[in-house]
Amino acid sequence: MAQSSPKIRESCRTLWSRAITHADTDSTVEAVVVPAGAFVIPFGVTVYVAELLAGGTPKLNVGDGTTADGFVDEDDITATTVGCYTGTATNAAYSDTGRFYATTDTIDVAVSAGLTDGTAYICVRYWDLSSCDLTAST
Amino acid sequence: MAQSAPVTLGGPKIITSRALTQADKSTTPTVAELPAKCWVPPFGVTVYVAESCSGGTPSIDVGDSDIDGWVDTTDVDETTTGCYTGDGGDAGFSVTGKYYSAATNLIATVGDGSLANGTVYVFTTYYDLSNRDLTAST
Repeated sequence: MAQSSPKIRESCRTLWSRAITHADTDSTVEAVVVPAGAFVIPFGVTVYVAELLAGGTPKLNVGDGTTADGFVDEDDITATTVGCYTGTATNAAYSDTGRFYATTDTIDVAVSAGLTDGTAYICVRYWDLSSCDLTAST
Repeated sequence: MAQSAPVTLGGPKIITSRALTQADKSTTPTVAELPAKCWVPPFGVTVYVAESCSGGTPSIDVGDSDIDGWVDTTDVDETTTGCYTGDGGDAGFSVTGKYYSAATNLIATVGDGSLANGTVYVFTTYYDLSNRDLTAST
């Protein structure tokens, strides 16, 4: 049943992925798992390029199974420059709206082919709203 | 006395509203009761359309005395499930955040009178600054 009164929660969580490197070239990495009832906040996904990416045309896209670049698009990142990057509304549809996951899902990183060097991490901030009933009313 | 040194604050809180449905058409339900001395950060208010709205021309605005200060109906596709935030423009607080020195209710304006179905929740993130003195210096 849909919740009938407001609820207050203090359940903000932050996840960091493992290092994503040239070993992941030309693959899609399930970077972090978000639980059912997770609300990934607006601008809640950050790509941290810790070591500049090299080889081929370095690109990263971050999203989920619905939209591969939903949170961060390759055009939002300068892969050859160390730093933090978030999506832009123009390129990454979820970046400024956030996204609610009613079921467990993964935040995925699509890594371009031909990488020979580089390291990146993905940071995901979300609210655990699993104790709230945010279903459709009946 | 106004605070004389920087402080580090605890974690934020999130309020998830009750389900807003067709039963709320043409009304202005409260979606969050904010305490005095709280700060809602930029992009701190999200409209989550859990069940698409139908009937008439569905609309929802979220704000305070500025009824679309946080989310304007033009920022939301009420007929498509998903998360939506304000994008500046009419929803000016969405990109600046807002400090509330006094307790304030955020309200939704639910239209139109022909709304026949749909379920929407409003997520509000805030920081409780009630133990800080952010008054004007003397």
